[in-house]
Formats: sequence, structure tokens, C-alpha cells
Amino acid sequence: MALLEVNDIEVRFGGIVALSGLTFDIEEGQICGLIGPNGAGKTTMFNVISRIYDPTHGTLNFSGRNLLKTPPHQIAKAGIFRTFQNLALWPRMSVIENVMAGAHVRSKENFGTAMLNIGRKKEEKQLATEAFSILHDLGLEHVAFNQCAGLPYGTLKRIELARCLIGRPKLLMLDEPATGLTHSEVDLLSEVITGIRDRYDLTILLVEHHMGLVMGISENVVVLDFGRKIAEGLPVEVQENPAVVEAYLGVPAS
Amino acid sequence: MATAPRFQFTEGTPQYRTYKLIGYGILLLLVLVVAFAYNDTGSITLFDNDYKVSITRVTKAISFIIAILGLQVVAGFTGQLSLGQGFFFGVGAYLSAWLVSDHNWPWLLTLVVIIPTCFIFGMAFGIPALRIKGLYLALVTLGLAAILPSLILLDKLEPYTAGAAGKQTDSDLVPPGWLPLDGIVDALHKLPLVGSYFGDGDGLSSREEQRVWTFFIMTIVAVVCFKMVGNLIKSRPGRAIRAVRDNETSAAVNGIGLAYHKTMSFGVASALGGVGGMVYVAELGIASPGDFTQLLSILFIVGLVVGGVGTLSGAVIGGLVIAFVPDWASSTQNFPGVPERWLQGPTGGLILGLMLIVLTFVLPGGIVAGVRRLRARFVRVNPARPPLLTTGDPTTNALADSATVDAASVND
Repeated sequence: MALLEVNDIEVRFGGIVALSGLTFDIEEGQICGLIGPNGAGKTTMFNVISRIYDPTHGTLNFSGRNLLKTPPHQIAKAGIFRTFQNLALWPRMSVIENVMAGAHVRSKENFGTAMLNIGRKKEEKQLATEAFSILHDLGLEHVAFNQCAGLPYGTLKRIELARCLIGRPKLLMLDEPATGLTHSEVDLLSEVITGIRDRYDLTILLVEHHMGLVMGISENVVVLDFGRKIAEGLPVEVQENPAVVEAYLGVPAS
Repeated sequence: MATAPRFQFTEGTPQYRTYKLIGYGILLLLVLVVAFAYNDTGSITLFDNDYKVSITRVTKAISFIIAILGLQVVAGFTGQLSLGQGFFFGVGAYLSAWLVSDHNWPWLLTLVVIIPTCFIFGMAFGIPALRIKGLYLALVTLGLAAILPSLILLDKLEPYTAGAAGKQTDSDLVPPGWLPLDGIVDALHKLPLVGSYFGDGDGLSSREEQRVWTFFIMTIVAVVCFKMVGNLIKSRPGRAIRAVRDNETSAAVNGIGLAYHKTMSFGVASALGGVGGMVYVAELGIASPGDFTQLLSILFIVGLVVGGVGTLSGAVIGGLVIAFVPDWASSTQNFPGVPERWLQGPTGGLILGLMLIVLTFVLPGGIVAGVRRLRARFVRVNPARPPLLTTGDPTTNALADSATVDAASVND
């Protein structure tokens, strides 16, 4: 059974059909690329999986569990974490606090115990250690105690990744991780993504415009255009698919 | 760029502990000075103006401080602008006045009733915050604050609230007999140089003793409140509410329940408002409906902003400001360079208003932000570097296994 089963998903915003009849599976341990021209519905699909949007039709199963019956804040508990296209860090918290807050579903303190200082110090220490180790892992330890506001874009993207990793995701969804990165940073990013997949036992769903990155690391590529799936398969297959070429480059004038 | 600060400390080192200890020592000293030097109505004279400083007013400031601390939780850290803090302040005040005068409860015991009541009310009150935001939430909460005075005056409630006359309490906090407050002030009076500031040498009357004692007790109440909120902020729920403040979408995606954290934060804030109300009545001895209007809620917001939104020390400064500055502003009759006739008459509001406007432009982050900027020139505290996960650690988890490889090779 696949880890994530997307079945016949349709999303409408008023009269606009953002996604229709979208079906694909993500196998456990896979890096799945979701590509398509601008406005194809990639981010909409992300928002459906993280329950920001409700689909008008279709089913969504995550390791046998019906995601559409899960409230948005339980999605992380189920093991799905994501990054955002336009960064959604918490700017008035320090980097390490951002990461520690990412472990929300795995930590236990509540309002009562925290205020009465019951077990708080122990948990804080443990979380700080874990967060710092992950930051170290991603080469971010030198900014751990900085405020997020004012850090370079590429760094912020990695902080967001660290925030996901501390939650121990089963499925990690990356929304355009290469946007705004330089050429060499993109090369580094593909190593980071495959590296964390192996080290943290992840399944990754990747939305990306940077074809070099997607084709280089994905094991399965799903291509969307105008809210419909036009192709799916290995990167090489997809690249040669005439429908994909047409979506990206248009039909040759005859 | 300024040069490196003169003093640098790393968290957890003995030097840092000494630095902290000195800081707390100064605070404690301040508390003692206020308690014993201003136990009678004292005043500071500046430019021929008499600025009244009395311990009763400081105790009143403590009540505001606790209420503003509550506002820090809900508005400063959770980002929900609530103008209803005055409501809970009033509820706390009336509940304690009623329990103390009609049922002879000791003051502090009333907290057992006040905290849960205000907490539950506050949580219920937080429910609108789940649907409405910003200005609209402010309006709804302001409505609640506006209701309270008329609620107090209801005929049905008059037997409990004593209506427009105000609920009198004649019970005071009496210091225990073994505590030689009288002796302490005498000893302080005999100190060389500074002795003359401590009383007039005739010891403390029982009224003065009670004032000092009330001040001490309420200071301890405030310290406990601060400690608890401090713990909260540096913990999982504290980070969660700050995450909700900074970005609700990503908070929800990371598993933070927005509804739960908002309502809980309203609950905690309201409970603190209630505690503040208890302190207020314990000091004043009377709860009257005119004290708990919307104006009080607005005043709390003023204190919050002037002190510094989202800082704990901002609550202290904000509380002191709203307890003293309006009064001081109206006592200002002379100021160098300003024609005297300008300052005659009811200029208190004018001075306070001007001060707020100027402060907002000069110190946008509140007084605390200014103090911090100043302090950063002299002292820098470097956070302690947490250890990296290692294989030898028995608590090693799935995450550690992968992190260890790098950690070990780089670190050693």
C-alpha cells in the first residue's frame, strides 16, 4: 500500500476549477516530484494535503488513514510536515525556538505543567539539544540564536526544513525549495534533500520549477497542467512525453 | 557599528550567575527601600513640583502590573488584541471584596475562587477570538469591558456588590506578630547618611505596618505570577502561542491547535486580570463600579504599549507608568522653560497624551526596548550552546542516530 493515496481530488474556487480528477500515489521512501507550469495547481495540492483547503470531491489516504477527516492541526501528528513557497517562519522567535516549536506534536508540556515548572526544564533541554543537532546537521548552528528576521533567504529555507525535520515527518512536502537559491546552492540542495531522505527515513513530495533539481532526484514525477494530471512516471519518461513538452513549450506551429 | 560591549557573559557560567544575582539583588533592594522609605505618603520634589510617592500607590501599581502581565500573554505573546482586561480585573476585585467582607475569607484564599472563575470566563470569552481578528476582536472585547459597571449596578446583584456606593471591606492584611517591621525601620533609620530617608524615627504605626505588609505580600504574589508566565513563555505552549501570533497558517501546519491555544491564552490572561483585581481591592479597601470602566482596559493597553509589547519587564514598567504618570502629570505645575500659566489647571491629560505621542515615535518598542538597546552597549549575554546528540546518550532517538554521524566527526 502506498504511503499517500490521492484519489480523484477536485478543488473549486467559485467557478474556477483548480484541480480536477487528480489521482496519484506516493510510495514509502520515494521522492516524488510534482511539476507543472505556473497555475497548474501544485501548491493547491499541497494545501489540500495539509488541510488548508477542502477538496470538493475525492479522497485522500495517508498510511490507511482518511486525511479529509483529520483536522488541520492533527496533520502534523499524523506525520506530514511541509515547507512553504514564501517562507512561513515565526519571525519574532529565534531560529532555535522556531525549530523547537516544530517538535510541538512530539513534546508534552501543557499550560498547567509549564507554568508550574513540572518537567519543563527537562523537556526544554531535550528539545534544545535535538533542535541544535538538526541545525548543526544542516550547517546552521552559527545562526541558532539569531532572530529569523534579517537572515538570508537560503538560510531561512533551511531553517524551515529543520523545523520540519524535528517533527520526525513520515511525509515531507517541500514547496519550491530552490526558489531564490543560487546555482551552487541548488546543487547543494539536491544533496541535502537526498541526504535527509536517507538519514531521516523520509518520503518526500517535491514541488519545484527547477527542472534540473526535480529530474535529478525524483523517482517519480507527476505533471500537472490546468489542474489535471497530464503525465506520471520516471523523470526520463516524463521528459519525453509529448503532452509535457506541449504544456511547457506549446505546440509547434505547423 | 558600535564597539563590542564592555561585559560579555555566557549563560550558565558562574560570571553570568553573579551578573544575574546582582540584578536581582538591586531589585530586592528597591523593593525594601520602597517598603520602608515610602511607607508614609512621601514625595519627590523636582523643579518645585511635588510628585507623590507612597507605598499604597506602589501596591496599586502592582495590581496593574499583574493585569498587564495578563495582557502580555494574550496580546503580547498570542497576538489577540483584548480590550476586556478591565472586565476581569473588576470581576476579581468584586469577587474578593465579596468573599472577604461577607464571608470573612482571608485575602489570598479568595484567589482559589478568583483564578478558576476568571479563567473559565476568559476561555469562554476567547471563543469569539477564534472567528474574528484584529480591530473587530478589540471591539467585541471592549463591549465586555463596557458591560461591567452596569452589571455591578443591577438590582439583583446589589446585595453582593453594594451597588453604586461600592463594596467596602474592612479586613486588612495584618503582619504576623513575630515580624519586627517596626524594628527594621528603626534600624534603617539609624543608618548613617541614608537613615533620614527611612521614616521619622518614631517607628511604624499599625496602619503603616499593614501597608508595608500588604506591599510585601502583593509583591510576592506578583513575583509568583511573573515566574509562572516566564515559565510558560519558555516552554512548549509558550512557543506555540508565539507561533500563533507570528503566523497562524504555519502554526497549524506544525500541529499547533489554534483554537486551543487562543482560548487557553485568554484564560490565563483573564485569571491574571482577576488576581490583579484582588490586589487592587486588598490595597484600596473598596471596590466601586466607577473604577472598572472601559477606561481602565484602555489604560492597561497604554501600559502594555508604553512598557513594551511581548516583554515581561514591560508589564512592570507599564503598570508603574499608568499608576504614577497620570497623577504626576497633573501635579506638574512648573517646568523649566515652560511658561507657568501653561501648566496651570487641568494639564494632566495634556502632559500624559503628549508623553504617549512622543514615546511612540522615540521608542516604538516601548520603554523596555529602549532600555535593552542601551544595555546592549555595555552587556551582552551569549546563549549557552546546547550539546549535540551523541551515540553514547541513552536517550538517543531515531533522530539522533542520523545526526550523530556528523556531530561526532565534527565535534571531536
